[in-house]
Amino acid sequence: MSHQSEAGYLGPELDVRGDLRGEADVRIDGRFQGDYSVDGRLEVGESGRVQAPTRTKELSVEGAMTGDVRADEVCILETGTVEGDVTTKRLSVVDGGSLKGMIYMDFDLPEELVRL
Amino acid sequence: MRRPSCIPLGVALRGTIHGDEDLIVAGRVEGDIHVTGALMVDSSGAVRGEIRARSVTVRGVVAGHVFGEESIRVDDGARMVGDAVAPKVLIVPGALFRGQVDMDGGPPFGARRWPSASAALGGDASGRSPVQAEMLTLTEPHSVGALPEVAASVEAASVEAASVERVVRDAEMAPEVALKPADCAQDSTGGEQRHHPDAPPVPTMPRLARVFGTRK
Repeated sequence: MSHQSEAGYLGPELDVRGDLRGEADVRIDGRFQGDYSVDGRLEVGESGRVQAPTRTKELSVEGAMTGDVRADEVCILETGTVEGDVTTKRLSVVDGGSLKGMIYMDFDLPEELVRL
Repeated sequence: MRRPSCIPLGVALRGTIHGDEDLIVAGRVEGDIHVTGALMVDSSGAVRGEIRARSVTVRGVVAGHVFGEESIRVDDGARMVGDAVAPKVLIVPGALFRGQVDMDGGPPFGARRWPSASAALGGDASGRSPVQAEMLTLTEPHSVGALPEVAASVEAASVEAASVERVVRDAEMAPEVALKPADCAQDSTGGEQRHHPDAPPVPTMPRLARVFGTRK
């Protein structure tokens, strides 16, 4: 059993509440409610329900997320829904995926447009 | 088999876990855990809170009461402070355990009320059974550094977990089996001691041997 201990996993029948912190890759197929701040990759599976402000490195959403998201990369897949503001460097929303909230991406416009 | 859930190494949860899953805790959890499957606190894992599961295996650290619907196993290298309540409680040689063991069922699982874990950790020594007192004296004098030596010597006694279970039962029923603190002083293992002469004696080796029913 120990060899799987490096990646976190919340199974579909698991309900976790509270603050989750640290550094690891995690997949959530169950429910999480609270505050998520784990550096690494987070996958929210199709049955996953996350209700938390979320900070992570890479995020992939097939389930439902509520709360502001801050990650280097965010990918909302066909079945994924995100309700909250997304702050990221790379974002993709696949056909079928839904997002309700602000998107913040930091980038520069061409100078000639800035002068207008 | 379904993939067990996991709180991985490097992650800390301050909160609660509930559900119908198997769970491995390799990180830290501060809060109560209640799963209907098997729970393992891995050697890197630490839980501070109450644990309820069908079966519980402790290889890391647990501070809090543990309720196993079927069984509890406190493995070699584990450190546990709190009560262990289950029809079967296995304490493997090399485990450190402080608390009460209850294997006789008592009130139905889930109907018990215990003082909070913090009270158990506070070291209130009043009203302890002989086994509890024994477990306190077994584990308290040790620094962590003394652990491998004790574990090694216990291993040498080649005690099977099953016999440990039986002895714990016996000790509970017949308090005179439990050894008195005075036995610490009558250490007769002689030249086998490997620790530094200036270090305090490791008092539990002969006592563990007797508790576990080792024959010369």
